[in-house]
Amino acid sequence: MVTKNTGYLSLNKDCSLKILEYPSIFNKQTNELFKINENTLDFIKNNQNIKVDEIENNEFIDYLIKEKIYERKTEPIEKRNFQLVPSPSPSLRYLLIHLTEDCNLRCKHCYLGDPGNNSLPFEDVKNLLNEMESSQGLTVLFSGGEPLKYDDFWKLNEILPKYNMSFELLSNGTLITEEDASQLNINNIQISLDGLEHGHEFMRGVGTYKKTVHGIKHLLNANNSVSIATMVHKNNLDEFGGMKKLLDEYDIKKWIVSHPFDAGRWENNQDYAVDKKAAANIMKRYSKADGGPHKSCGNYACGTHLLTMKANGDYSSCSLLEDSIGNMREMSLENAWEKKTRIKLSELIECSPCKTIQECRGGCRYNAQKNGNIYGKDPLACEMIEV
Amino acid sequence: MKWKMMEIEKVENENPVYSVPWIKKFCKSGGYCTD
Repeated sequence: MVTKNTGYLSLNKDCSLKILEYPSIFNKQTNELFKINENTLDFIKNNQNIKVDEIENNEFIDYLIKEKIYERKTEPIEKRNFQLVPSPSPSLRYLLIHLTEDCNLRCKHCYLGDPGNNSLPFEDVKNLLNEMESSQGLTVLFSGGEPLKYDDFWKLNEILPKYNMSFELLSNGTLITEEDASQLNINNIQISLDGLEHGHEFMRGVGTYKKTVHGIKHLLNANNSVSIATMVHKNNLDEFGGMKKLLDEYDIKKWIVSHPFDAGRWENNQDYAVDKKAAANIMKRYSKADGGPHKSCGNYACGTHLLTMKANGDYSSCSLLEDSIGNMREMSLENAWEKKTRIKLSELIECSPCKTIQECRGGCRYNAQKNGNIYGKDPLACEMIEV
Repeated sequence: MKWKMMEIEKVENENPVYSVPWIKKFCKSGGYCTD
């Protein structure tokens, strides 16, 4: 209820208007999405500051305040212009950018294998962000290699607040200092933690566990949002209970537990893999996350709203599939998104008759490809359904 | 301030099609709409 009759109600700076498959409000801090109709879109576009004394008791305004779409201010905010160009359907919501191939670690399960020398020029990354913003994008994920090894990372970090998009950093955490943690303009930092000391260092190298845990603590102390990604392997199977305790202490809300992908260095380290049933059991028990950017939506298989940019400038459907769509020096983001091959759930010949397809959504197409057919089954997703 | 049919629906970020927890339509209940 609006009770005081002075000041303004103003559009939250973290909220922006987008046109996805429908008009929307996106909160880049909380990642919340609101589907709205044209009337609500026009109302918010044209009423970014409302004098409190001009509002009668109003359920609609009360709701906007409750959801933190509007905030009480003493002075009006500067009116913002949104680039409201309807996006194609399905919409491009997530862009994963491999800023560099450079990495300070040599993990046994890295799907990228030994690092190359490619890095994206800063101006190209900036252009990509501009294109993503005008394409109505929601979230950009920065990966590597290790993204903090990207030469222009801090220059990039400086320009992020001006965008109406959320930013996520996928990092091994070992390079994050106390000072870094307080300067990040990133909405969520996903840190890879592959076990307690023994399990983590088995995969990532001696001395990495303490560095990663220190990185996590620095991030949390600076009030950053942190999520954790863990790969199941033979040497961390008995460490999940301890990890859960540790992450509960840190109040980590999102814990993504996965099985390493059969790619890169992991292809030569299969001796450390657990069978898929055991992995599925652990994933089901401990993972506290949805499919994130890789999720399947509507009639489409995984990664419905995702595009990937590799460190050499190639667009691809995801970081694993070798389906180079084109290079950013020859193709716009918009054209790459149009050209992306989309696999429909109905095309998954082995899955479409299955009763649980709406639950597993066909799993991961890369896993299916490695199993022999990109339109076939993902054995891990099948195990996840059965456990 | 004239009110039309205002609709706002919180949707799950990645999957608007299969997860629609609830919908709020602001019109007759509050009497704000003009159409």
